[in-house]
Amino acid sequence: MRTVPLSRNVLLAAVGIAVSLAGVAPAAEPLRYDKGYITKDTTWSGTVIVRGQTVVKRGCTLTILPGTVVKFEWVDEDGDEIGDGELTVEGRLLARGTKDNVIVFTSARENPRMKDWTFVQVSVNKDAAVEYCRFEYGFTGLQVHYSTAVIRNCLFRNNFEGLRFSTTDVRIENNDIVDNYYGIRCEAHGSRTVITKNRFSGNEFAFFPVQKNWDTVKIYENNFEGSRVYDVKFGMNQKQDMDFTRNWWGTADPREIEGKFYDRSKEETLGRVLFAPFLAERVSGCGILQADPGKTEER
Amino acid sequence: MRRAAGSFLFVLLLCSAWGAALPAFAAGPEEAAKEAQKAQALAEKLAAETPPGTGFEGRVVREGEVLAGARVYAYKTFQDVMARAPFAVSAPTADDGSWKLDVPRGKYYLVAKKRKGGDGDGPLSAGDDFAYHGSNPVTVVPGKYTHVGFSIVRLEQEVQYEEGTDKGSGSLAGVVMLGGKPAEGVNVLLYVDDKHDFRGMAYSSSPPTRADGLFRFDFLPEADYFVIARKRATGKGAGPLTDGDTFGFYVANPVPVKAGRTARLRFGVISKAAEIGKEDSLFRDTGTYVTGTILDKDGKPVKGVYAFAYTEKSMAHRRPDHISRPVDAAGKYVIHLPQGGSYFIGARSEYGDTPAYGEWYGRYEGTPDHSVRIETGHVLEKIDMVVERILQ
Repeated sequence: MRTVPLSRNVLLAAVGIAVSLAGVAPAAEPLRYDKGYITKDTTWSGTVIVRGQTVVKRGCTLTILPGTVVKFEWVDEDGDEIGDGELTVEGRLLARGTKDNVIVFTSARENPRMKDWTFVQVSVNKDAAVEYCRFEYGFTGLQVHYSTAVIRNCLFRNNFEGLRFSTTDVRIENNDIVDNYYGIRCEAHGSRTVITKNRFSGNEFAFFPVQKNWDTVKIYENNFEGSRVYDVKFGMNQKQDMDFTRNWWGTADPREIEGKFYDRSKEETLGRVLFAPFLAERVSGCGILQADPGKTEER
Repeated sequence: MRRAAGSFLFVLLLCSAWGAALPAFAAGPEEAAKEAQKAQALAEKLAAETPPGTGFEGRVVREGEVLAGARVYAYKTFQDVMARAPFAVSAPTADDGSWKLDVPRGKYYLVAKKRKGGDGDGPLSAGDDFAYHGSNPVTVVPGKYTHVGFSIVRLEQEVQYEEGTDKGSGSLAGVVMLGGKPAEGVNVLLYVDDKHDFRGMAYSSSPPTRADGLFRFDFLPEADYFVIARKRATGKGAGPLTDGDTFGFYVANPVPVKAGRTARLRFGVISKAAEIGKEDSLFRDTGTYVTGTILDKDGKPVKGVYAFAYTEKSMAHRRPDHISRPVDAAGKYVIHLPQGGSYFIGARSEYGDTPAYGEWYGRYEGTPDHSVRIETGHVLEKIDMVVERILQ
């Protein structure tokens, strides 16, 4: 006869040490999280140090105030050469900086490098908001999965992936996505996505649709100012065509534009980048808005 | 978990009564009719003697990944395999590769196929998937579903013929592949008939392949040859196949060998050849398991959802390490685990791939990181979960 060990609950409780903090943290001393769990509504300001995985649990909102700097300390317990620092929000993330007081997610290392930390991950959120934030030196700056979200006026730079999303209703607008290996990586799976007024520059690949991106993904009026390899690279399972019309590709020469895509023109099993009609001139108002629009529209 | 259209247990019997597909060997029409009647009577007798819940079940995998959309065919004789005259056929395998087939007691030759050219039994061409089970014929045990695991291989290219070296005889050559790489230490065997179910002495046998996986037979009389590959993990040459053995029944058997020509083939084989009579490794009762309920927000069971367990905290972008069967009518699930340790637990309605729009999805919320810790030989109960539809 099988028995349920009495020690089970003790073992479960020992799985993680929960750190619960409420209210506004004092700005003088940096707030520190070491594999912590946030189990109440919490507000961050000043400097926050994150070591390992920190999770904001379901039902809790993490509000990050303008000017907050979140630094991920380098630790690599699993030896995969990606820093273990991670902020996962399973409740709701509200990270609204301003033009003059951006929120920064960065490496704590003196000489930071790409992949110094894992990611900020928004998972099963309703109405997450990420505005005037800077994500740098992560594996992925920001990942958003199974959520609704707005991502506006942010800078993604020097990450392996600037922004990754899957199965998420998201508006990605007025961001600067520069000098990452992949700018945006996505698997929409039928979710509704709008990607507009963004500026892509200096990425190895600006846009990487991995698979299952259909016509629910709207990508228009963006400036693709030049990538080191391809502006759009389809993943091997991206079999469907994707609508990339009404974007600026840095040239008005269609043959030159075509050379910026890794799609069916290079591999017959892939879908096609549908890029015509394309814009013959740079789109004005792309990238981070220098004039703070104030309170932005809610989705 | 998405199921094939209709019931999971749905079995497509190709004949109106069990046994009607048995071949008749009588010469004249009258005798043929008598033979058919006898076969029908025998089939009915067998069916009457067979308790319900008798048959085969299992899972079809290819290169370590479960394969949806394949069918498993049960034949009464090897001649029926060659004639593509199945006795019974399973519904297409579900997304998790599982299948089930009700048959009366007896022995069957089991074959799994996934053809590009159509849903029914038929000839195979390059790109089709195929497996002839290494333990054929397999005996079904009355009153239970005997587990039969299939590792399927792809026919990469059909037999190619090129100029031979000897005008009076033929040659057969090729490479044995395992997991996309040349297979070392495999004996390739040629049989001219199926008298002994491809066991025992072969017409000819190659020495064990080297690291390049190449084999070659020269000076063969013109004939059709069944090409079989075998490698015993134990190094012993006899006995039934066991886990770890390598086995292959060439997809396009038999291979015609022609004088003055060399038949060249690329021969995919599999390891872990036999899993007859065991529970599927995913669902085998190991004595270590996690159980609980999966309900929606209103406390109602959700048909078709199942629980999964990862050994790593990132529960996405790859298939789970362990899964349960879909929940029962009360929403209960059981995940059997190979040993104790920490597992990250969740629930969803599809298998593999990133959860999609509208899919049922949830994670165990009893611990901050969705994990449980279990000791070998113990049971964790009340690991309950609530699922919601993504983005709805």
